[in-house]
Amino acid sequence: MIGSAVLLLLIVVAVAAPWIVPYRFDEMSILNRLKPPSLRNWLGTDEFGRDVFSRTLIGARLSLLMGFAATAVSLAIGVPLGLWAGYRRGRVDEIVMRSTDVLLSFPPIMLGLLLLAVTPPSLWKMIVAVGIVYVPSTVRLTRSVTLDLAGEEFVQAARARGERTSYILHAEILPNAWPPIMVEASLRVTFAILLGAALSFIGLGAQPPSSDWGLMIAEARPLIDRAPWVAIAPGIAMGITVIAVNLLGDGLREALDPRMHRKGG
Amino acid sequence: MTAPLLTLDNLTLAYQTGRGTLRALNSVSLGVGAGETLAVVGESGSGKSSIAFATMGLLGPEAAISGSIRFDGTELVGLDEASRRDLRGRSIGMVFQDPFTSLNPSLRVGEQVAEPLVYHQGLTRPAALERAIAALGEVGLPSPRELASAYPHQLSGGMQQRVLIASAIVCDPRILILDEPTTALDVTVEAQILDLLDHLRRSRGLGMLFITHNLGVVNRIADRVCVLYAGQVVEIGAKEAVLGRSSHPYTKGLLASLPQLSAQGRSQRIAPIPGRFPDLVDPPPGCIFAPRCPFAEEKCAAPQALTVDDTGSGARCWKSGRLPGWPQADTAPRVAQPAGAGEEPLLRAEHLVKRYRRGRIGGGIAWTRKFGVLPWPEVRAEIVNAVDDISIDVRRGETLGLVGESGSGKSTLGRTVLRLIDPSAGRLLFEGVDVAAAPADDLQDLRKRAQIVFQNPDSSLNPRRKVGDAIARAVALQTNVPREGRRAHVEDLLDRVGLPRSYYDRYPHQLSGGEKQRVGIARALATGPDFIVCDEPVSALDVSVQATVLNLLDELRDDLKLSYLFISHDLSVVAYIADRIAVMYSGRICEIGDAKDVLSPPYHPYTQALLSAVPLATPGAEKSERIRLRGDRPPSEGERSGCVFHTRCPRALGDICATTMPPLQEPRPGHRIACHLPLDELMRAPSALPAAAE
Repeated sequence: MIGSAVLLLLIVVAVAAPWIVPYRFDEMSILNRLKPPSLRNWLGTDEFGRDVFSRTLIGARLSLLMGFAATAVSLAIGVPLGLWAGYRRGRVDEIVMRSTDVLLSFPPIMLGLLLLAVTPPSLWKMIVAVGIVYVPSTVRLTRSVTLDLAGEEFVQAARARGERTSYILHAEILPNAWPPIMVEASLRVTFAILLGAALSFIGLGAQPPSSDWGLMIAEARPLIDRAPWVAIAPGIAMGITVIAVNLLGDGLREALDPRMHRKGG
Repeated sequence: MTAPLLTLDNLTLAYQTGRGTLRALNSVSLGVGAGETLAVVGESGSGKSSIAFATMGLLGPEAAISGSIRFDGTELVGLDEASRRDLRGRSIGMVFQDPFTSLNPSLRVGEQVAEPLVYHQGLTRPAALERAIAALGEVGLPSPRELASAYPHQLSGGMQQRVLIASAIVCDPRILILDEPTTALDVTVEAQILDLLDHLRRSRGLGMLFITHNLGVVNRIADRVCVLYAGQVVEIGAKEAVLGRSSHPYTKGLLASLPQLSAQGRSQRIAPIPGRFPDLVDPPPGCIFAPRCPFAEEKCAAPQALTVDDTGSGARCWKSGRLPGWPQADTAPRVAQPAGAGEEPLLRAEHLVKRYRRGRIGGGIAWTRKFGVLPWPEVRAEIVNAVDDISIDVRRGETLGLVGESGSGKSTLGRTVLRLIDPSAGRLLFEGVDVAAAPADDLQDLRKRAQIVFQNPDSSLNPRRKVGDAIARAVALQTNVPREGRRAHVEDLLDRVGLPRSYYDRYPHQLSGGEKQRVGIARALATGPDFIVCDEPVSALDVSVQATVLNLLDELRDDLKLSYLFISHDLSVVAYIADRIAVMYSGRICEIGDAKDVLSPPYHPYTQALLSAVPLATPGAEKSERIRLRGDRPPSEGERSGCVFHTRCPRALGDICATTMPPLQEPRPGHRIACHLPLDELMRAPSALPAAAE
């Protein structure tokens, strides 16, 4: 469970960042521009003389929030739709699935752009936009798991004793559908972080001077030959986060598999 | 006795598990000679398939094998992979259980059969294909040349199994290993395949190692029998000795657990084997069967030796030969239910129909013109007649058995009468109230009073829910037992189905198959029903467990005055439990009546063929006449005029059977046969039951 340990550490750091950073993230120092890593600035400084280490720690807040909140949005919309489509089949299924096909036909970044470009950017709009981008894959997965489960005899038994559809969906099907959905969602978090970073990179996400890994890399891009540390630090932070979340996903897959508990009886 | 071709000597197979060493096979010794069939029979977990896999060298590296497997002088244990590959397929052929997954769906049948010839004998492809076509002909497939260019999915299950057999014999092996080759097939098709295997053995002098759980099949095919229990050979010998005068208690128990077709057998309860299958990691120290054995004594606490006499027979029991018969079931004898013919039936289906539309691209695409000009593709939909104009009654307190082969629509009918599936047409009267078209909200009375028990113990319980909670939910939903009384109520239900009260807090995966099935029954009882559809409730269970569940269902019916619609593909099971029997074929009922009437002439030709195909476990109880149906399952698609059985009927009259719906004939009140043959013609059929089971 290295993944969950690293991720927990990241979350603690992100939450505690304002109190543990050596400098304020937006504290500028004209005399101290583009300095390489040193004892004073562990990861160097950027073109405004801001401390890269502090900015990277603070950036974790936005990036992690972005990843988890956007995934939560995609689950909140996608799971009920998938359950409904997979259980009811027929026309409902067709309408839901063809709508997701329409969404899927846009490249993710284009869809994010489309949703953000019309109105001025804000953090919450970005989270919702990235969440919506990942709704189709959540719907598809939930639906296919539900299709399988709906044919199981314990679901038939619930119908035979007169359960309502809503009860069957949330009490009989959902608990058994959760493991694959959770595993997939954990991978989704990393895509959401990356997509959020990409949107910030092209200027539609977090706005300067706030600190977001994508935005930091965007700002550091013109200086990459002179001061590579400014881009490398948030890049590595993003890499560690993605790996940690993926490890967590693998761990979840094993932990949630009921067959793994069989010995425990 | 000639020297055996294949000899297993003290074969032991062990796996390391987290809890210790699991011995899947323990000192197994047996031999198969040329032209001889040795049946290895056992329940699940007995290790019977491990024998096949060990012989073929198909076990993974984690399996530790000791002992010896010799084939024609060659030692197979520890043989290098290249030499093994040379033997596999060339000298030893193998046929697996499931024809539907054993053939590669993307290769033509002919290529698959020809492949081993190219590999083992270096034939050119055209020459190999010729030999393959000859082999397809030998296994009784019609027009083998055309068939060779078909893909597996275009063939029926029986034909696929014939193809598998063809590919196993195409290199002229001397030994054939068959792992449950007929278990996935319908009984009429199984009979054909067994005939074919017997024919091949005779014409080619093949030795066969035939692995099965079905004692009836053993009796049909075997010369010698080896009974396996928990990885040990408990009894071995000639078929007549093992099945006729069995000397090991386990063999006796297995035979006693089988439901009998004869009138006498049906009148008494079957006697199951008590207890649970032993834990193979921590087996009982002495005789492995002692904890479940009714004859166990102090001396059984010592490990038992298998003593084989010079005829090759023997049992792993010091008391063998001195044992009395298996004790009768200690429950009360069965009471015949009074036929309440006069009163209103509990459930009545009138002209019930369930059709599906199945769109199939393979069925072709019809091009039509939209708006007069636009070409518009439409997939030709087929109509599947799953339930085709069926009328049945289920009376209060009776068991109506519904027997049919796969695809006959029996499960669809069972779910339609519960409104789990909405009927396409017809009336469905529950206590005189038509519920066929009632909106879902008006079905609460039916949901409370009509329940279902399912086939598959692994799928019928929610894996994330405690057993007790699953039952309690049904209690909460459909009864007015107050919240605080629910746990006690559920525990009473657990008592009722013979489970310990502590099982309330267990999860389904902690239970055995038979126990899960009991939970399924308790859950069905929880709403306080009058009527239960039992959809193949014992088909997934081992013979000895099947007997206990059948007895439980039978007792519950008598105690709680339940009515059952008991669905099964197994005629012996239905004959045992049912008061009346309905025989279903391709969506229609072809014969219905009191069990004793359906099981004796006059028969519908299909009933006669079914009865004739059921393999019986009593040696010497040969049926007067064997009827073999040609072909396989019938189409249930499209418009159907005439009798649905006419394509396979051995007694078909000609055009009239294909064009005109058969009339309902009633030889006795309540016994109806749908057939064009005149009654006295049907009457002339000999009894298909074994001539008095001695």
